[in-house]
Amino acid sequence: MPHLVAQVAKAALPFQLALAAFALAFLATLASLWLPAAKDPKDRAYASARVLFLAGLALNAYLVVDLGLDSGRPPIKTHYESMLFFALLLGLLVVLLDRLRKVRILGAMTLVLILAALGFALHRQDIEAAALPASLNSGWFLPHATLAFGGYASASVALFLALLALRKPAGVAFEPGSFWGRALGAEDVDFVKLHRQWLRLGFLLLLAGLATGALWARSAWAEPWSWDPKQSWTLVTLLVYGAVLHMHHTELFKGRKALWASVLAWAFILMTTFGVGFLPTRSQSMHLYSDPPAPADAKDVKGIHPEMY
Amino acid sequence: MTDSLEPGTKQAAEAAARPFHLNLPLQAAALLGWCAAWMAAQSLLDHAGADPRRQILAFLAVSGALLVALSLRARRWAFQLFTSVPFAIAQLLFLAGAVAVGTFVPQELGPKDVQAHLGAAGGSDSAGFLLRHAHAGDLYHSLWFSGLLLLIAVSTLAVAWKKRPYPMHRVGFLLVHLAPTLILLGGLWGRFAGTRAFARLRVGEPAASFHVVAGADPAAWQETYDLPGFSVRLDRFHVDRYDPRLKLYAFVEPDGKGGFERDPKAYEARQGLEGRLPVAGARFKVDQVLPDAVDQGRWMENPAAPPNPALQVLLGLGDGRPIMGYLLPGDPGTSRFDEPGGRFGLVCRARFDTAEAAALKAPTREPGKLAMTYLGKTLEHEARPGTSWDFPVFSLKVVKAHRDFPFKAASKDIPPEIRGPWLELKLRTGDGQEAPIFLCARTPAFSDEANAKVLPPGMTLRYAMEGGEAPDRFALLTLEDQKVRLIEGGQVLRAEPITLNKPFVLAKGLSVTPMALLPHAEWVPDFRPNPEGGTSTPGRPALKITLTDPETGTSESRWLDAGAAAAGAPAGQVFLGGRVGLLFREQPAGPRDFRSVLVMQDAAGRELARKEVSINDPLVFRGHAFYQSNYDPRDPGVSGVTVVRDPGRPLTWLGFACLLLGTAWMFYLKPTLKRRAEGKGA
Repeated sequence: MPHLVAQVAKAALPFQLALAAFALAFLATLASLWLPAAKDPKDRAYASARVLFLAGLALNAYLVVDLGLDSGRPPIKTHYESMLFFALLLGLLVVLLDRLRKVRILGAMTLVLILAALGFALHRQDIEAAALPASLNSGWFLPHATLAFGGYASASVALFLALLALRKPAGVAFEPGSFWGRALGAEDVDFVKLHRQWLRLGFLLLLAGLATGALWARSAWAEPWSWDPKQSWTLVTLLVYGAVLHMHHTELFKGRKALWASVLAWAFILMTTFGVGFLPTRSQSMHLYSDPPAPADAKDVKGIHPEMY
Repeated sequence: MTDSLEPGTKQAAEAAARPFHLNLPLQAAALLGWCAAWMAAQSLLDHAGADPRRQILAFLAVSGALLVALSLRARRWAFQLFTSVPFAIAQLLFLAGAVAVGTFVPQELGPKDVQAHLGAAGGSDSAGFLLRHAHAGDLYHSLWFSGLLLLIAVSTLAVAWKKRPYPMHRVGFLLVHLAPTLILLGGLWGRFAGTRAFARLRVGEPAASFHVVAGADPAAWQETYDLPGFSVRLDRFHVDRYDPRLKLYAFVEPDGKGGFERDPKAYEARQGLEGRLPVAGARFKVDQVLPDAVDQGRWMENPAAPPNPALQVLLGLGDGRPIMGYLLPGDPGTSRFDEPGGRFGLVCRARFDTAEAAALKAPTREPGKLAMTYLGKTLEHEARPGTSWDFPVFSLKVVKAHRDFPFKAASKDIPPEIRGPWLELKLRTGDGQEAPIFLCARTPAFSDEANAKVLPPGMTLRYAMEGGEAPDRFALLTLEDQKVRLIEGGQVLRAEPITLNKPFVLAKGLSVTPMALLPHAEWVPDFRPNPEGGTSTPGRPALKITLTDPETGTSESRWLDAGAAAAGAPAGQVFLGGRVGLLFREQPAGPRDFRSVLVMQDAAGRELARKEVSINDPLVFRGHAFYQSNYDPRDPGVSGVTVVRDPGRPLTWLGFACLLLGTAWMFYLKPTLKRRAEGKGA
């Protein structure tokens, strides 16, 4: 605990404020779910949650822009930067979804993931702005990383919606005053359909991320596809999500099985984002920008010097 | 792969009785069998000595024959299977699993390397057997993996065929299902007709032959690829680097003993920077930043500091320019000082040690080298006394090596150019005449001039001693018994009590005078801008900082030295009783880009094309793309270049485009187009 306090104290002031805003927004959302209508007739808890969420998002955006201006490059190089970028995209997508007012628990779920991302960023704070390796000095960097993280964020929204669809199948209604009645809102949202829409968006963005990565790899690594562990796991994730999309089109899996498959598929995003750095083949990867291999571990890959990938 | 293709069934009891094209467990088992069959086939082909090219040809031939057989004997069954959604799911998941497995085993290794990497698992037990025959070390190029890709291609084509015709709203579906085949065909074409090769190019030397990249080990790249009708020349290689930055790191959770946490707070070091340190709460202000500074500090007595005796001494060298310095017996780096002229050394120890005193003498030297330069060539000979160096018309005999001959006993001050070591030679010419030659190792120009009359015109002889100066005379100062001893050749010749301000004479003109003894010496740095401007005396960045504890009001002001770590000193300093650690260093200037100017030339050396290639910016010439891919940090004239020729690449890109466009079409254009088509129909 003292170490956590020290980590928070060492963080930049906008980070501390964003963290506080998101944490308070989360607590306010929970309060709005549990407080009986009689105790909060004007629904102030939820209004506060929305304001705090937007304030946190604005601070998060400021942090990302500030990191970019400070380093003079897209701020998506390190785990710290990537987590802030992911939190921003996820927050923006949920705001765009415009379901915060109607599906309260979606905001709470989003905030859990945003807080987890910021917690990880806190744990992996950058001591200083990292210089880009030569291969990342490319016009492909921003579109490729934005598409990939956009895919992760969309798939995360799809995860939340899949969980909600599992809780509230079509035709099921909750008491308006009950926890789930407040959590899911009065509107009869078709979560299965909404989930499928976000799943498709996530798949398309991940695919676009893969394609732009291949185009970039053609100029940086001399070939578009080299079975790099990061590339391979992105492909694995796409194949799994492709299978999940197909599951919605067969009676064998349609419904709860497909929804559970969608929930499980999200684990592959975690593996692609964090797990590749722990694989036994990490020394053969040219894509460990967040976790660069130790100098003793770094070696030429297909004739490419470690300082060049 | 299709929208609501299957009628299906909802009864779980019927699951086991489902037909094959709807039975996922059976399909998974069949896929496993399909892969196992290709694993066995590849092992047999390996055993038969078939190279990868022949193996893939055999694979295509057998697969083609199977497809023909299926279309002739079980067309309906096969079509039903390949177009079923459950089979698509099974294939996608199976392929995902296979790709994932390949990330757990180092790829593109030979069978022996796989065994070495896998350790015990790669041995003779069942796991090792499976890994070997699954060709896990080159999984993505194995036949069973190719078999999975072939099934995907066949399935998607079959589905595309089944869903005919293709009105506008279904075009996306067609594109998506054609894409895998296009990508795989592009890859196959590139594998057969393409190449990836590597060469280390040296500036100015054209190269037409590259090593084909095959496997992870560059030492195994034996096959060569010759550029067709042209060669590539490296004209220039350059590494762009980031500007170095001066950084100040604040460790706010130090343990007080110099142990600092992993993630300090970092600041851009600039004069005037001030703020409040997190956690510790102390305020700081950077008073001064000197990018190129020299330390003109000194040892000072600090009774509060731990015991660290230092003896201040004044050396008289007979030239009217005495040297002041400190000797610290507790520090190996500063407990001994050798006079630059090599005439004596000073050693300070806590206590006298007979064995150590006996070891204070010049080491037995190697005889050194005798070097002759004549007509632009240099020849070397061992300078061992008694040996002879014979030439057709004369010979040189090494007579004697003189450590300090012959002026040691001279009554006047000895100028450095005539001090030893010397080598005495005897020149004997073909007509029997002899002449002595003396070579001075310290100032060779002095002996060159003296020997010019004896040696043939244009010939020079030099005597090169290896290693630095090694004095044979020492003043040993010991603090416990407060004595200073004169030692020559390991023998104590004289001893006197240490008396402050009283010179101890070592030889005529040479003396050492103890000036002060500091029992608790502490180095107080005092950085000044480098007067040499960094040209001859190497300076380093230094920063002066003041820390104030707002609770107690105490303040500490100190210099931080960016070169401390390189000099072996503690990298960081603790402040405020160990509550804060500070480290100042110059962030290394890492590489930003690597640039090679490549010139394509024909056999006659005529320039055909020229471009500066860098990372992310290759040169494309006659279907070959040249990439900047390696360099030698120790040799700036070498650049590693990879050449790639891949005729299948356009097909691969077309496949990617179809997949992307088709997916977007299916998800976002199709509903609109479908509504419009239905509206028209109505």
